[in-house]
Amino acid sequence: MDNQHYDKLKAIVDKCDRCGACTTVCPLYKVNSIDRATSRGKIAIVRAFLEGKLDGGEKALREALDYCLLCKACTEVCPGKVMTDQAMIEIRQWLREEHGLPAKYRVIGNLMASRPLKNVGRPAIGVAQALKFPRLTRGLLPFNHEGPTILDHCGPATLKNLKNAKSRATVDLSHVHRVAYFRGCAMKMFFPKASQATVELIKKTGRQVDTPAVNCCGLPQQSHGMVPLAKKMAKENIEALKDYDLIITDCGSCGSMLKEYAELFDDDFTMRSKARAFSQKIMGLTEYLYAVGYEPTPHKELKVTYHASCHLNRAQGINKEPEALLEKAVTYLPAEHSTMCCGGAGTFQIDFPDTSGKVLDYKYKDFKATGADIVVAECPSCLMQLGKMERYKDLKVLHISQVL
Amino acid sequence: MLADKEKHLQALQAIFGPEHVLHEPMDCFGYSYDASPEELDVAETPDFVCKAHTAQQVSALMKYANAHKIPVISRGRGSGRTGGTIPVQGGIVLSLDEMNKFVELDEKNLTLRVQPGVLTKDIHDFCAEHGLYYPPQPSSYKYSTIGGNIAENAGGIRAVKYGVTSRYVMGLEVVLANGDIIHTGGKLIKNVTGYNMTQLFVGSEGTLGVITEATLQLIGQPKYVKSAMATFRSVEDACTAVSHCLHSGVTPTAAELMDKRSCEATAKFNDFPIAPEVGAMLIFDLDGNSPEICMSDMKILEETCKKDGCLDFTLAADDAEREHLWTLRNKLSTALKSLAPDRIGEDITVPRASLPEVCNRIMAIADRYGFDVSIFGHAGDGNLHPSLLCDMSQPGVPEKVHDCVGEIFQAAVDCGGKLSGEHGIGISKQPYIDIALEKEEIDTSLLIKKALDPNNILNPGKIFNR
Repeated sequence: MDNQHYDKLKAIVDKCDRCGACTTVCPLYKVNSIDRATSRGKIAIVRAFLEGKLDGGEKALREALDYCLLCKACTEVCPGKVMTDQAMIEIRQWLREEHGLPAKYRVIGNLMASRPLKNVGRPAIGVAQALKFPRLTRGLLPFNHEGPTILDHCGPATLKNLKNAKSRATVDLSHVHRVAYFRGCAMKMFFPKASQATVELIKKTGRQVDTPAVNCCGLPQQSHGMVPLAKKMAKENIEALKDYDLIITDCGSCGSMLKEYAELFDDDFTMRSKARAFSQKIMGLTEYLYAVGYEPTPHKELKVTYHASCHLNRAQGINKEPEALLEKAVTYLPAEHSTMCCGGAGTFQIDFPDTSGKVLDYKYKDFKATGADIVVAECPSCLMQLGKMERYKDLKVLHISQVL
Repeated sequence: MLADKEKHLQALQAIFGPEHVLHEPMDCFGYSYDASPEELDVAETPDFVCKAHTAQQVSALMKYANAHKIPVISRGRGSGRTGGTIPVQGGIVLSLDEMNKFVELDEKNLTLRVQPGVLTKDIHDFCAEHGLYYPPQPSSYKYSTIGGNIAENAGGIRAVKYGVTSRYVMGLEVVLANGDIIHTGGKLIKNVTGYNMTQLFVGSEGTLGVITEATLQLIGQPKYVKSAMATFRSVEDACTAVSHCLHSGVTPTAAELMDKRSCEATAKFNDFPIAPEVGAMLIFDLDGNSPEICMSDMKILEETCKKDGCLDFTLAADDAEREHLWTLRNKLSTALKSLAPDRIGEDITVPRASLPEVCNRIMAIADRYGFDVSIFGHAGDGNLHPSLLCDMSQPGVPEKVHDCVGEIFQAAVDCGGKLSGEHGIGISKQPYIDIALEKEEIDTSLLIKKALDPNNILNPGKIFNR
């Protein structure tokens, strides 16, 4: 392994003393209690590998390290704040450089990066199915949704660390002239109604909003060993949105990625400062609505519970805003473990459908216990996973914009 | 590596069900380590990991393993600090984390029966719901299991007033090496019927039997807790104050000591100002059944500390301040680890009155070896965690650390102490056990081991390396 990857990984794994605190929050350990599923398990695998002690072959290593939701729940409780998600992303990048990328990730990553392809949206799903990627589609399709669902990639987490997590956009809202709605891939392809609701909400706050053409945020590529491609898309997005002074997104995953673009440009000072300035213009939907004091029209007849997307809650620290808005808009019934990952996590649900399903069942019990009829989230990636609960016919899954 | 793996796999699957036997190397690797600083060693990967759900399964496993002389290592969540669950000779890791049921709460007798995989924190929470209290709180309580706590006789901060785990273990269900299931003790405050078999298994680190159920003694939950911080010029002053506090008749729940180095690390890591003349700090917890009692007891602690040269005595005004105070203490290990690549933390225990002397000796020893050392621990019960700050990747350092730790242990023994207060011996402290135990005592222990486990299959290679 080259020094750059090695040093980054070594710095992370050295902080883990294997105490086991992560075993109490890891969703994967909750549903199958195998130690290698936990943060310390995966960190131990990386450490043993770096120390030249592990010789299970590249396939076993890749499979073990893909088995992570990148949900950061472990880092939150970790006394040493070990950045397991960063370590996973780093070693996946190395594995890709060393051994190439599995075909499915390549297809997904490139599809998302290609605007013409994405514009065909639903037909693309047919293409993927025709190309016979049964594992790609299995487990991804919600049973009854706005449209068929595939290729959820806005899932896996990013290079950011928790100390940056609370960073907020420094937009001075009194001096905003041009507002853009960053419509991410999943919102565009699978949740057009919710996407429309978001635009309406922004208009209700008295602002004009454009929906400019943008590229994928780059998160799926970054998570699966395609950092150069992610960089390219970041550059395109920064350029495409340079004339706007406020950029609002209703996708937690896109939001977390857009706010951390600077992390991609370690080696490029000019791009780094550009990216930082860009990131300061990004706001999540409820973050924005809360900041401008938006007053929703109450619909107290709706009994709603909330799933806190990992990328919204832990990656961006947006937590009180959606809950405060829900309190005003509907009869809000908070669920136990609302911040636990839903198990979707982008390609995780394709790679490990059984585990992913078990995590969802766990969440389902918590949601049902609240007595709510509707579950909302502020991330289409979670909505795709949560949408699978609609098979039980007693919970409706919506984007938060649709109840505000 | 075992021969006939396929045959064993089938036998184990027949006992536990195929989905509860792990045998893929990557799955099993996750059971080759614990929370000790022992190096990862792939050669110590177990051949199998079995997830038990009943005592009958454990019994069937032990019969099989005994017949085939296969090592069996019981494990909860693997949060031990001394390598106690590392399968040094391979074999089968018996994972008890899914045996995690509350069996019976007897409110009339104030007892609780639990399976070994229940987390200690869950016991605390469960008891609190019923107005009851299970006092032991090792710092790993949120993620360690009660089975592990019993097998290591875990301590923690509340030992000053409430004692350690063993005090609350009234009875056990234990599966022996030959597969026999025995039930020791009962819901009995007094019991001199035969040997005290229950306590034989407490702290035995999985070498004498497998604990499959425990009957715990509970007490009523104290209603109020107050906390305070007291600073002193020296460790001597702080320790003298603790001693006088205990004399005063007021027994704090916790009396945690931090030496100058620990105070400095805390100040730096938490951006928490500590006056330069401070050479030691105590954090007190005190509980009682009314705020007035707590306050008047706290007043006694304050006056006693002041007589012993306390520089400043600060009472936590509310729960938020309490929380903050304890966060300083709880983050200490992490704060110290941020000062150096490695922190070698020990766990010596000495008679309370010897604390100042052993602290001075430890500092002199570390100084001689050129190591930075910080000392913190449970001043109220004589259990200290001296921590060497070093870089183990540097040539020669591991050997120096080994020798330095040996001298620290010798100092503890010279002061009337032992090697471990609450972490156990495992493999980490094995090389030093001769320092602390007389030959006759070791021989007697080995006789017991031989009687209970003639084939040496229960966690072999631990505590006594013979």
